[in-house]
Amino acid sequence: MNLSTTKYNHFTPMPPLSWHVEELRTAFTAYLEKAALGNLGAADWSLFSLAVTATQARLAGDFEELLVLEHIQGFTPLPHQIQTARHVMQELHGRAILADEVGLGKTIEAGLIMKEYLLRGLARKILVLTPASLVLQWTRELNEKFRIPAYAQKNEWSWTQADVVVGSLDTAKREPHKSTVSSVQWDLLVVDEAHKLKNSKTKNWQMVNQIPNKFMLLLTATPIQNDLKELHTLITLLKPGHLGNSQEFASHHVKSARLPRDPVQLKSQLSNVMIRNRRMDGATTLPKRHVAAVPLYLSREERMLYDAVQQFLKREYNERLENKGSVLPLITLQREICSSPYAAMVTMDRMMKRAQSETMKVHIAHLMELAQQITTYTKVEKVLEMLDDMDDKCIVFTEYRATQDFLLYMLRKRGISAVPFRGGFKRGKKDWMKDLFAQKMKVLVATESGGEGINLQFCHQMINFDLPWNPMRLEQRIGRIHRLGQEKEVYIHNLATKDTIEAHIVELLQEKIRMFEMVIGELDYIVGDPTLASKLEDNILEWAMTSNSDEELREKLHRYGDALLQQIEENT
Amino acid sequence: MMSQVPLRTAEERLTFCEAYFTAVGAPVVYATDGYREYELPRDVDKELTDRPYYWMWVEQTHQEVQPTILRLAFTEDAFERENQRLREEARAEAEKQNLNDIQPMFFRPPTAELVTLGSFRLDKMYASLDKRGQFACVVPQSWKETSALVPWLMMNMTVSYRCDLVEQQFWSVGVCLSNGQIVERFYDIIRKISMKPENPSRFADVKALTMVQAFQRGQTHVAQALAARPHDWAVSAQQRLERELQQVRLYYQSILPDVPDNEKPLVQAEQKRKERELAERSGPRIDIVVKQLALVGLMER
Repeated sequence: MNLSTTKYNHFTPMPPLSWHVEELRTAFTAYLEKAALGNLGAADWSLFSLAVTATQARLAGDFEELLVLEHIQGFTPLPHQIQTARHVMQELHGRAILADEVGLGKTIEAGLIMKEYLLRGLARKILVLTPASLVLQWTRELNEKFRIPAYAQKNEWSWTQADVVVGSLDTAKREPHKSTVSSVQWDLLVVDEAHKLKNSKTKNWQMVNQIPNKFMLLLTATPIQNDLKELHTLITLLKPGHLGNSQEFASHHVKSARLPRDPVQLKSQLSNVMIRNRRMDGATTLPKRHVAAVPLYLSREERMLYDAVQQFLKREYNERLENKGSVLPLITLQREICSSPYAAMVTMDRMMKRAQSETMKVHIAHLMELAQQITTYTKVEKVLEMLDDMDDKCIVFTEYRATQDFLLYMLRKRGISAVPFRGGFKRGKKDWMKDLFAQKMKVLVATESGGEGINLQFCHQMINFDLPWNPMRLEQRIGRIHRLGQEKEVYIHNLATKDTIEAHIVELLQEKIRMFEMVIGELDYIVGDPTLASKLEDNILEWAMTSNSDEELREKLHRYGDALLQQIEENT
Repeated sequence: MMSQVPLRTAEERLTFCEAYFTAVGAPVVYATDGYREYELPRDVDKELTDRPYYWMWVEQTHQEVQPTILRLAFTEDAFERENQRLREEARAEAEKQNLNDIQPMFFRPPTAELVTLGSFRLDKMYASLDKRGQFACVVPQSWKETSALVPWLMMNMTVSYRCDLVEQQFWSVGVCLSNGQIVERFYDIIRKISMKPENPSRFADVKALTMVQAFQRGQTHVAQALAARPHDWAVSAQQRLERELQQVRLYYQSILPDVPDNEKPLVQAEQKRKERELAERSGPRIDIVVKQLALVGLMER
């Protein structure tokens, strides 16, 4: 678009003019008076000419051109990011939900839009609200990538002192911050992880709704988690009434909680407020991902322990169901025993302490005794063997601290350099461990995917020592190495101990749902649904405990996989 | 109005910086291909480096301080090359001084900075020029006292066409103080003439218009020129705004009956605020900021 040279039309009235001249005129009079006294700078004319150049260099030209592209240094935004920034400003008029799949660079898109508005003088006061853990990272990224002088909020005064402030929504919604934030006329408001605003009855939503703003960006990879109404709630923040009030929305657009009445119509209405780039639409192409199951056979001692634990679990399960007791410790033990005897010891120990009957104590003591008889650890040996054959860096993921400690111990004993990585580490330590791994170490042993922003694209090998029973956590693991910026093919090895539940889980996730072959994000809809993910944990235990044979368990897991696949098909 | 946007190449930026530092009296102390070092006088230093507390300290304690050297690279090549040189020179210098064991750990060689569009230093220079380059009172170098001068008021401004988008233009208007004639693109016409500063009292006797009248003429002319242009962009922005305002009103109308009476004023205030924000964001308008003013004496043709 070219605002000033559109089709000629004499009858269009001129919009209001406003002049900014008085102050300069007064100063000019003073300048001339001084000049009349002979007070003239020899270089005045060169400075005057240079100032013309400086003014012209900063003009916001034709809107088709993004000024920001000339003003960033050291990285090149991807085509879909530039396209998105342009679309948001020109077609959506600066109010939009950025709903790209995980890892496609929503932050970059938001940064491009912010910088463009700053350069064009359309925004000066900008507020970015993120989860507390991302405040520093956003601040750093805006400063380094976009040279936007963003400040991390520190105290009550930060909101007004700096022009561009990054703070956490949890802080902003508390007094005294709340009043301050709500009294500033913000030009642009950016909310990251905006799915936290899905309910208009919450403090989060009400806070964001009362922050004054002109332009607004809501960032989320999962604009709908459970219910289409959540989408309506987000849109009400951006453009109240765009899809009617909530009753109108419900009657016009919603068939059931997760199914739109008329998907085509809803989609076209949504395109006025939301942009969603997906990998499957060719937003980006990532190098190939190789996935293999690594079959293992338990040693005699390990087998004895595993079988004994299964027996114990079944007995306990039935008992607890009858007495309405909690089965949560059982889920944990079942998962731990698939990881390592060490991990299982933690829960067994706890159960021992809480045991109320003598028989219970005897049973657990027996299990612990069996665990102590184990001398070779098949899984650990396998990992050591695999690492010996690898002349590349590798991440080993486990769900358990105890397994992690044991692995680190065994790696060091073998002379393989390794660092730990845990969710509990502070930000600085996380970065430090990551740097150590990047520069000096061969192996990173991690208990969690490290949250957003820990990107390990320099690594191409991943061993899943045990698998999470939750597809979302698995997706996050993979996302650490297989994401934007990965230039080489990646290899993922899943340890699968034969004749244990683990082998079935690997089969379900790897072969049945083909989870690993799906491009990341294809599963957003499923993994973004917390009820579905936590249900899976409960279900697996139930199936494992109530199946009379291995075959029956396998059958149940397959049926679950079919249902999941069907759901994915319906929703994409 | 402009053929090409300035300062988009490294060469242009170098020329620009050279001219700037010459004009503010900062000497070049070192120069190679695509690289310059300038020694900053104190007033320029204050404008280009962001350290008010340092200067407060220097001035209140009457310190003698070394002038700042700016090391500006204009190309990636020069940046790499000169940083390497600076490192080596600093190390050689340090070795001569026989450092003890600990000092090398704190050893930091000076570094060059890359001047690019959007870089801190260039932005500071823009800001410095916004202050230093506001006014001028000049006549052509070639002017002899014997020939007659015609005084012109030059008004340089940015015109911003604004809704939720913005597009800007640079306008320069000349108003002849002896006959009221108006010339558009005035700066483009006179930019090639080399000028020298002159005392404004020279023009006192040839003025038919007062300054106030000249300003009025200039402003009226700009307003008329703008009115004669097409503003379809503004019409569609206005329509969009009205549509969105309508949506907001309908929305609040529909939810209001369900709001408890004591909360109604709050919700109504929220609606008013959202309408106001909408109008501020999307309402079409034209902002004219006069950035520079000059008195220019031209010789009669």
